[in-house]
Amino acid sequence: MVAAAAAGAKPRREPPKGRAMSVEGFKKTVSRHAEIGIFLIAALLILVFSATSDGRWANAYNIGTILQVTATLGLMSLGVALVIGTGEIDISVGSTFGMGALTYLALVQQIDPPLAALASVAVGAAIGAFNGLLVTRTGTPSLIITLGSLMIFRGIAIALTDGFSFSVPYKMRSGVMYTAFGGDSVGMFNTGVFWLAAALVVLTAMLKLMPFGNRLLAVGGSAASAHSRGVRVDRVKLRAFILCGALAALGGTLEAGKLGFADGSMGRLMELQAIASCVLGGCLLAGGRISLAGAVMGAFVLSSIQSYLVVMGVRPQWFMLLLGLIVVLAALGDRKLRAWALKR
Amino acid sequence: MKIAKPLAAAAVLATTALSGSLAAAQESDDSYRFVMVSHIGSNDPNMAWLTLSMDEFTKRYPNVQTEYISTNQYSIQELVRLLEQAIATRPDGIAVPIVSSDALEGPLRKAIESGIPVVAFNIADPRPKDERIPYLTYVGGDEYLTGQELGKYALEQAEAGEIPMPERVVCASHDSAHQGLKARCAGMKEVMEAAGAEFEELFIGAEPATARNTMQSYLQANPDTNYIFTVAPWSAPWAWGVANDMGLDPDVDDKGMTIITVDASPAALEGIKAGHVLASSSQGFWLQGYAPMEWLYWYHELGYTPQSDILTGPTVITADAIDHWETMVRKVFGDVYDEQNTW
Repeated sequence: MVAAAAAGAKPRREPPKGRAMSVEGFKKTVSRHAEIGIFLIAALLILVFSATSDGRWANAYNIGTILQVTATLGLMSLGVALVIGTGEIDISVGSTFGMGALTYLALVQQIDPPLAALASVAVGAAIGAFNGLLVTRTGTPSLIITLGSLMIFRGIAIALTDGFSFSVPYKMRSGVMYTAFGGDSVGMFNTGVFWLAAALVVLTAMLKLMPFGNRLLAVGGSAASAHSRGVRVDRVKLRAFILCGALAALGGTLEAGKLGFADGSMGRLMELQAIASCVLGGCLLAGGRISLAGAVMGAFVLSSIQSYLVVMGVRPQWFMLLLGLIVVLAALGDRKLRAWALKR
Repeated sequence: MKIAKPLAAAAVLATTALSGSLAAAQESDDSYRFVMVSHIGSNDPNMAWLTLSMDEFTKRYPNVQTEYISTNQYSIQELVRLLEQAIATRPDGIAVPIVSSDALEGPLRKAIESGIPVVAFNIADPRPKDERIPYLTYVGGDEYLTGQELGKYALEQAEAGEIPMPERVVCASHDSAHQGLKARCAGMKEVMEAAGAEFEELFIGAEPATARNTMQSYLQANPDTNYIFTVAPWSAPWAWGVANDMGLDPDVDDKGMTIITVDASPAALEGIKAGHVLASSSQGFWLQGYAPMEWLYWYHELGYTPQSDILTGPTVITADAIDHWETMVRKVFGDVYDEQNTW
C-alpha cells in the first residue's frame, strides 16, 4: 500500500537549496538560542502595536516610559533568571524591590545618592543571603522559603510606612548623582536603562566567560552530578540568591529615584511579572538553561503589552484578562516555535 | 464660610452642567480626547459614578472622546506608570487624583509644560496654591471635611443618646499612603479627640480576609474601641461582620459598637438602611467625573480657567434621607446596585 502510493505519487519537489539551507539554519538558531522566540514575538508586537495605535504607542515619550519600566522589571528578572538557572526560584523579589526603594528614599536626603544606593543594594543582598542560607542549609524548597520572605519583607515595608510614605520633594530632586540613580532621563532614556544595560553585559560576561556561569548551569542541570564533579552546589545557589536580592533592590532604588516616592506597596506583584519575563525569555523553570537577554526582552514584552492596553484606553475590568491572554498566546507561540525548530 | 465659595461654584457648575447650557460650545467642530487616570478601579463600586458621568458627558458633547484608565491595585507606583502612558498619547486634557504630590509632580509638570491641561479630581494637592502642581483646578470633596462632618454628626447623635459616646475610635484604612484617606482619618481624629476619645489609624489592606483578621486582632487588643470609621464603603460590612462575630453589638443603637463609613455606594446606603451603619457621606462623585471633563472642554473652547477649587462635597448621608439617596444611586448603578450590596 505504501509502495503503491509511493509509486503513484509525483516526485516530491525539493525546495531550492538556498532556501532549505536558510530554513534549516533558522531552525538551528532557534533550537540553540532559547531567547529567539521572545525576540520574534517582540518584533511582531512592535509591528502590530505601531500599526494599530495611531501613533499613541510608538512615540518617543511612550517608548521612553516602556524602557524605564523594562529597566526596573528587567533588573529584577535578571536576578530571578540566575536563581532559576540553579533550579531554584525566588518569589520574594517584589518585596525586596520594595525594601530597596524604601531604604534608598529613607537615606537619600541624608547621604549622597551613591551611598544610599549602595545601602539599598546591601539590604537586597542581605535578603538574598537570608533566602539562600535558609534554602541551602535547611533543604526546604525555595518556593516555600521565598513565599515566606515575600510576606515577611512586605510586612516590614508596610510597617515602616504605616501612616506615612517616604518621599523626596520634587524641587529637591536634582544633581548628577540623583539623576544617575533613575532620577531623570538622558535624552529619551531614564538612567535606569543604562543600569540595566550594564547589568546585562556584566552578568552575561560572568555567565559565558567565567567559571561561575558553568557552575550555575551545571547546578541547575543536575545538582548531584555537579557536586560529584567538585562544584560547591550550596555556595553557587547562595551566590545566585544574593545577586538576585541585590538586583531587585537596585531595581527598587531606580524606581524610587524616578518617583521620588515609596510606600509599602512598591513592587507588589512584580515577582510574578519577573518570573513570567524569565519563562517567556527562554529560561527553563527546572533549571540548567537560562537566557539573560531573553529575560530582559520578556520584561520589555510585558511592559509593551501593558502600555498598549493603557494607551488604547482599555477599561480596567478587561485589562488583566487581556494582558493574561496576550501573555499566554506569546508563551504558546514561543513553545510552538521551539517545537518546530527541534523537529527533524 | 471657608467652603462657601467653592460649594457655590460647585452648585453653579452642577446647574450649568445639568441644564445643558452653552449651546454654542456644543456646536464646536473641534474634537477632543480627555483621559481620566484614576486610582479607582473596577473593584471599587465608585468607578461607576465616574464612568457613567463621563459617558453622559460624551452624549452631550459628541465631539469629545473620554477615556477612563485605572488600576485595580491600590498602588501609586502603578498610577504613575498609567499617568505617564496616558501623557504619551498626547490627550487634549487629563484628570487625575493627586494621591501623592511628590510622586505625581514630575510627570504632571512635564505634561502641563507641554501644553496638556490638567484637572485634579477626587484628591487635591494639599500644598498652598503657589506651591502646588499647577493644574487648572480641583474638582472633588474635601477629605478632611468628610471625616470632620461625619465625626460631628456622630457626636450629635451620641449627645442625643442615640449612640454611645466615643471612647476609642479606630480609622480603618486600606491604603496607608493615600493622602485623601489620611485626611479623612485626620478630620475624624480632630473631632473625636476634642470629645475626649482615643483615636488610632489601622491599616487593614484591601483584601477581605486580611482586613477582617487585622480588625479582629485590633479589637481584641483594644476592647475599649466602640467606633469604627471605615474610609471605604466596601470595608464597612467587613468591620460590622468582625464586630458582630465578637459579640460587640455593632448595630446602630445606644450600646456596643458604632460603624461609620463614606461614599454614596450601595454597600454604604444598605448598611444605613439596615441599621448597621450610622452614617456615610457623599463627595459628589457624579460631578467628579463630569465636571473635570466640562472644565477641560471649556478651557479649550472658551478659554475659561476657574479661580478656585470646586468642592463637590461632603454631604452627610443619614437614615433620615436614605430613601432619597437609594433612589438616586439606583438610577446610576441600575441592576448593579443589588449586586454591589455586600451586606
